[in-house]
Amino acid sequence: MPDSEVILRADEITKIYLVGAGVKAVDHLSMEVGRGEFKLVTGPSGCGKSTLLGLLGGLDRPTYGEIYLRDQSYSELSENGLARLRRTEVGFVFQFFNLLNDLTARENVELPMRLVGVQMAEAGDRCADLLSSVGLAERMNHYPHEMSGGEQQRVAIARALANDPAVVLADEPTGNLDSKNSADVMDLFRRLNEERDQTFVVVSHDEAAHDYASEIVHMQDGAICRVEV
Amino acid sequence: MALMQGPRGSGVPAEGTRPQYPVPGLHDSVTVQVPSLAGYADGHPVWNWDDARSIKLQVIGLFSFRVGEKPYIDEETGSYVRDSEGKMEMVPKYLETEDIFIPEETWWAIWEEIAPEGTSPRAYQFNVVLHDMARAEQVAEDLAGGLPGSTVRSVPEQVMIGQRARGQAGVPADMSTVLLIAMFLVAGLLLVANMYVLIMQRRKEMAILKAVGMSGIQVMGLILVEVLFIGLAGALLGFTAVRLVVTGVLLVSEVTAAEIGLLTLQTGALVVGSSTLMAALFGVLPAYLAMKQTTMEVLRDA
Repeated sequence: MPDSEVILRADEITKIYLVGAGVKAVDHLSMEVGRGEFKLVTGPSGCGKSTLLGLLGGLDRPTYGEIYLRDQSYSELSENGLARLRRTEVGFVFQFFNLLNDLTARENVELPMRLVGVQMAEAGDRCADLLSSVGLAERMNHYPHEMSGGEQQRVAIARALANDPAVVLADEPTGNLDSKNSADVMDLFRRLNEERDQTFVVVSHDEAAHDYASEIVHMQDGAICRVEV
Repeated sequence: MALMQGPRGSGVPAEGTRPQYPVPGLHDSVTVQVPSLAGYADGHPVWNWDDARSIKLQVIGLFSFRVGEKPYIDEETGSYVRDSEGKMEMVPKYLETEDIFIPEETWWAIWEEIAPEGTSPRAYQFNVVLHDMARAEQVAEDLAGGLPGSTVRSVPEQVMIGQRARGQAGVPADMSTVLLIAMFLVAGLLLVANMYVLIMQRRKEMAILKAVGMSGIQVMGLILVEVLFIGLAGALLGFTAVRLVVTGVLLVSEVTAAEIGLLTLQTGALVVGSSTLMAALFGVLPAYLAMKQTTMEVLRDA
């Protein structure tokens, strides 16, 4: 754990899905994420990595335990409060990009800005900057289906950064990309981490991702079994 | 459509003057059952209904029906009263309804047809045939209100009475309401099913919207707006198609453009309003499902 300000903290969180006798996806897990940290979460399929990411991002609530973003407890937030937190403090990147197919790259990136009330002109400028920073200045007006997988993932990364979030949570961001595009995406993460002091929590099976992380968290059966710094 | 039957043999025939009825330009038909006068008993006319003639007249308009110059005494309905000098004074009785109008010429044509020489005209029963069956219950109600001494029945009621008299199960008088409710329920359930399929197809899109910061309530609102739009568009399309046909019929019946416009506005507001309300009611369930879906699982899948 670096000596930086802790911006995200999970405190003994457990998530139980009420399927049959109940499935414990995350089991009494505690972790901290410092500002500017690049944390990699890894482990076998079904060990609860994505569930953990959903909980950290406020997409779901833990059955037990508490999560804090800076000093804000998630359990004290209403559904609208959590949505506001996702709009302003958290950016998500997914394996299958999850762009809206009816919107262009620029419109996809502008969407989170428009949700927080950024004016059209300002959103356009910021969007152009973001897409330039991920190397897609020339592809702003293209639709997702007109782009390669690597390009779509870079649009998704630009969208995640749209509202300058405290943390970017990425769930298998290279899982659907070839080795070259995977390396490009991880390079982009590292560059954003270094240049913008952007905090990342990345879930990945990819061994190559280990080289980029400042800390590697290994999970097993919903709990942290090992941490490499 | 209504059957109206007055009290037979009550009252005293008297001469009257022709009231000044406005003559409308609207047309429908009124069938009058006309009995023949068989003679008098105790000063009252005796009517022969066995060979009653049926007279169908092009009559109906849309806005008022007046049974004027009631030439008989009827204490109950006050169709004639004593004046300040104690003389009997004819008070025309008017039947007001928004649906029927019998022009003066037609009314007198009826009298001339049914009244024997030297007697004042009286009709004891007549049928009112409406083109717009949807208004039958309302017309019957208006007629009953306007003629408290008379029996007014709509055709469904009359059929039910007839069937009961023959020991058969009656047709419920409110069958139209039952059918209407059934239709709305079926349409509503179809809407729910369609919206559910739509949401299943678009659950990823909704999960993305939640991930980028929309709340469940906002996603639900989005779905509801979409359902409302679909309901509104469907209602407008359906109403326009049916209204075009109805307007053609009304034009053939020489109903004026202004009246058609008024009818169109009234029924349009009712149909579109109720359909949109129904869409909103039945759209809540699919919208709620969209709100409650587990976002992370949806976004992990390809």
